[in-house]
Amino acid sequence: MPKSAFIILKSPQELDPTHTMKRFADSKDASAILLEDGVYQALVDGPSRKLKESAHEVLVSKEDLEARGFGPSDLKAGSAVEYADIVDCIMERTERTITV
Amino acid sequence: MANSTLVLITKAPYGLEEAFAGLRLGLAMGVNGMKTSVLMMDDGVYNAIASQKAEAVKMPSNMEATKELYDFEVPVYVVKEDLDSRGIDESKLFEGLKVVPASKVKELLAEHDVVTTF
Amino acid sequence: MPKTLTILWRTGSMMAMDANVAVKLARAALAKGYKVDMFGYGEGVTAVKKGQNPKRFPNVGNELEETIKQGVSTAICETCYAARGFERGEEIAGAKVGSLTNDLFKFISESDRLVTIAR
Repeated sequence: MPKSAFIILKSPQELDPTHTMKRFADSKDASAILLEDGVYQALVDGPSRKLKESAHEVLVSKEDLEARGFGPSDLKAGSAVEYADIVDCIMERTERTITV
Repeated sequence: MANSTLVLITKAPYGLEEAFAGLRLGLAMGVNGMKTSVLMMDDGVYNAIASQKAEAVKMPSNMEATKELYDFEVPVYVVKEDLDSRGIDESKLFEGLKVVPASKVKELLAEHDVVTTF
Repeated sequence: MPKTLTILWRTGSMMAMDANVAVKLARAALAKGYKVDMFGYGEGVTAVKKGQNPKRFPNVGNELEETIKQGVSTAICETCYAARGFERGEEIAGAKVGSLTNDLFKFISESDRLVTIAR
């Protein structure tokens, strides 16, 4: 199955992205990219746990995290990254990009 | 180089432009002879209802926009579990749609080079 | 041949930061040596209107124009543009008022990856 990057722009109160992610890819083939309000997904217990179960890597936009008053040490899933890392994930580590 | 496109329709018709826009994108790829499939899932399955009446809100018909895809051999799949969870019986759908289990989604992903979500 | 990325964005210039995210992604990919194309569809077409003046908010029109100068091919859907009352000539320099059938098809068929930025 193709490795897939899932782009998530919405907060956990607005969207549970893992429902769609599980349909398209097994955890070992899934990367989650959190941008804008999507970064809140990695800051809350329940949603961050579900994300970790659904994706083998979780990339959190560092600038979106910082803009909202949080930092890398607040993350309950994944790591804070720059756009360059997100590009690597999309172009090199995965074969499909799916916006949830 | 992408030779095929999978279009996900996840939004219901008539409140938002999204579903119609996605069907048009599918048509544009299909017209060019690109292998293209449309997958209605989540609230996108509401686009599959045969009794929809776009003229009631003076909108273009998403049903007609879907059927236009058939002329270019663009298959349109509908996720069964998403119909079930919304209480929509398959008998309510218009002709030509392919109802598939959610387990088919991974296969469709593998069969297409790129994916776009509406 | 570098790999090619197409970014399809569909959110309006002031609705969310989506168009800005699309531009940032395009620039980051460009900086890494990838070829990048961008297509504005639906409400996304508002981002190519020239003369945007969002005061203290980021000016996505200017950002996009700069990105085009850096070598990103950018086109938008003319039907969507006309629907919003825009006419040819009102777009930023280098943006093509085009179509799904010609421009987006070409972008996608020449791409290794397609990213959709929309809500």
